[in-house]
Amino acid sequence: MSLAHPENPMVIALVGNPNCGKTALFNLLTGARQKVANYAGVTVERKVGTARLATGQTISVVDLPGSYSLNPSTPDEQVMLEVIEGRRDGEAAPDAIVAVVDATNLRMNLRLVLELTRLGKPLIVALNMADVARAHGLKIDVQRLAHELGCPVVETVAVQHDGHAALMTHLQTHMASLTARARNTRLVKAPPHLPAHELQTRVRRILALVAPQVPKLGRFQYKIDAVVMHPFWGLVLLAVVLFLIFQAVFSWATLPMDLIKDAVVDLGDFVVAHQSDGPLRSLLVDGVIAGVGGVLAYLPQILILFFFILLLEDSGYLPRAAFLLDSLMGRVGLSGRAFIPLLSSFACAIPGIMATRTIANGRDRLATILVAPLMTCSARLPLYALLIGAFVPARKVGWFDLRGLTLFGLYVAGVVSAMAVSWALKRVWMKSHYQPLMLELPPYRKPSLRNLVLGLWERARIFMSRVGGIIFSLTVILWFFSTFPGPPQGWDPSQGPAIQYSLAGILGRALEVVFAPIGFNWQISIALVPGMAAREIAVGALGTVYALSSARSGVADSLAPVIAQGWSLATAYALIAWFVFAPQCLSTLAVVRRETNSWKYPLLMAGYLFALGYAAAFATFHITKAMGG
Amino acid sequence: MWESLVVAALVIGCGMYAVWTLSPKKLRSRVARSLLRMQPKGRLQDALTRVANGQGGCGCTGCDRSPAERNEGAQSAYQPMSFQPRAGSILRSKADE
Amino acid sequence: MLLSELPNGAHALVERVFSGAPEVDSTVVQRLEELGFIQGEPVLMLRRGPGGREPLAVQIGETLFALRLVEAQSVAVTTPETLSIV
Repeated sequence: MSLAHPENPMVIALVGNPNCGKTALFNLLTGARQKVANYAGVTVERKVGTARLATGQTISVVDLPGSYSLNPSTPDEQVMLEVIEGRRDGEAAPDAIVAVVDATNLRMNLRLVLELTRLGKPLIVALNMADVARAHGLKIDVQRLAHELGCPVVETVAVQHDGHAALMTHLQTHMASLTARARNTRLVKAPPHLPAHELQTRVRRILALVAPQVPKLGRFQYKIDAVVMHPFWGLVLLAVVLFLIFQAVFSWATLPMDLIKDAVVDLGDFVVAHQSDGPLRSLLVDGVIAGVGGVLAYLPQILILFFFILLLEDSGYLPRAAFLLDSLMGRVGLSGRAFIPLLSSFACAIPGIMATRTIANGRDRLATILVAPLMTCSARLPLYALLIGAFVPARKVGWFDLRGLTLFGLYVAGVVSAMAVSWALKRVWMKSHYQPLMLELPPYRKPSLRNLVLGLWERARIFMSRVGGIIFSLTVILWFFSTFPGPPQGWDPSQGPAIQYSLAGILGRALEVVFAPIGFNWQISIALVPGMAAREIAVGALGTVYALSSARSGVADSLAPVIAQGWSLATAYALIAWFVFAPQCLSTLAVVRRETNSWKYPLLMAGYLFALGYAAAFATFHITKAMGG
Repeated sequence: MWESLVVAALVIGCGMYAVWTLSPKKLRSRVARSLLRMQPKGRLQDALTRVANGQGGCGCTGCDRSPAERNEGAQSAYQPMSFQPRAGSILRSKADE
Repeated sequence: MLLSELPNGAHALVERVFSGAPEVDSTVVQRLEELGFIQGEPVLMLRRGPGGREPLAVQIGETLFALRLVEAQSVAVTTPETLSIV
């Protein structure tokens, strides 16, 4: 049979348990040269990439979904088995299988490997996280393991940038023999399935030979868990952690935020000094700089928030949080599996809503989708920060800063309202059913700096592309509508700012009728309109609208002091209350429509959120006013 | 005079961009596909192909596949729940590997 | 004895997995087996979640899992005391 050549590259399939680092290894092997799609008819993802060997040759790498055994019990696993066996139409049978194994948990990982050895296909075992195992004092006799399994075993460290080197070298040296052997044994059928306990007996035998000391989870893992997962102290710790995060979001951000704000103001002054008065200057100063610059200032806070989220995620803490909150979630009718979608919604509701696909029960899934928007998405952060920064004094309450406390309170309000809505749904028309939990609690690990930096970089990139894209363009459009048509002949500034004669001004006054009962002036009303596309725009829109309303034309003022002077406390608080609930951006509604396949649910969602937001703002406004705000 | 031109160009450009970004995906795919028939080159072609195949907005990539089947949830529901520790955080990727 | 009946901190050995509640069907049973709940495997009941009922944090082999009550009710275990009686 012919050796692999460019039109017919060697195909290797990555197989392994979930959580064994298989995907990280896949990323190392293929870098950005990956393509993700779906196998026809099922949900399992088809991830294919190309790896480049030192010789310049390429091999095709298929990352199959993580599974614990070859015994197909779902259509997804059926597909996986077919792909491995080469029975899948249109799929080249893999020439070799790389079984990725978590060295710290051979007991569980070896079962699948044993099943794979019985297939008769060329098999290579990638012993991943070998460094972690060794750090825990676990000695694995790699030679012996290779001998017992009857196939080569290479060590990999999927979190190191060159951790796949040994695997690549092995593939290179043996490529010829692997492909020759593989193509001579094309059709392979899996031998009759071995019952689980027999497999396990064999695993135990091998383990006794290969890693004789009983591998124990480090004592410190148990000690940490004794506190972290304690029914009372664990929850206290969770609250404290969240608390500290929000404190940090305010206190750490002050310096970089001021830097950005000063730079923005300086830029505005520069333009004013070098460009004569006219539409271009207004566009640049009142539109772009006041608008976009206003939003830009909140990048540090978003990054700080995500820093902590990524830290918690990488360390292994999040599954413990899911454990602690599971019974509470169950009591309000949320499935235990809703934890990940809801947590994702803190970044952006869209991936959160998509993540609800793992919830089997249709109604449970719908309930989760409907409450996901109440989780404070990261786009609300600039809004909260602006309003808190302008209206909440930087006082200390005990150890804590009042501002951080308020922000924490707002996030809590989002979560509490989600639980309340979910509970109401459960009472009215949805009952929750048994949802398998089987939540894996991985060992704690030291968060990887590399992942942290990559994650933050990704977040910053997403933010900047939003700012440069939709926020910039909508701000310019808003500027346009706020400037034209201009004031009539014979107007002078004492009759009020020019903006009230513009389209936006007119529209704002019309909208004000709707929003006046909750204390919103027309500037707020008009700023909410572009906010439907992306929430942060409301901050920029306010910046632009107020810049154009300012009596001193052409000077770049910072927004916060302007609104602090112009708005009553009641208005500000009402606006905050509004944002806790107000309907999501259009993209989220579009996603809900796609995921639920009907218009009914996005409309229902927008409707109930609007109603809640209005009611909350109404109550807040009038109560604050009554209390002298 | 030129000032007004610059302003107009910016506003119109932003208008078109906003309309494009906020349009429903199907509409954008169709437009992209008909534009592709005019055989553009290089990066423009790549960008149009991506849109034609349905890349999502909102700065996100790769989470935009329409649900393959109604019972997708039923199948993955029986997978044990694990937080993907590497290669992208749970904040961006699906719950099961 | 059922896994769900083990007190916090107790060690035991898995005897078998069966359908201990109507919601636990064969898929779930198979999953549990694949997770490592196999005859003879050592299991350690760690603790329960807030509320004292569920979820149950369990260590099977070297892995920690959090299970629902009905899932833990589907695993029969033997404890050293009962073993020695036999």
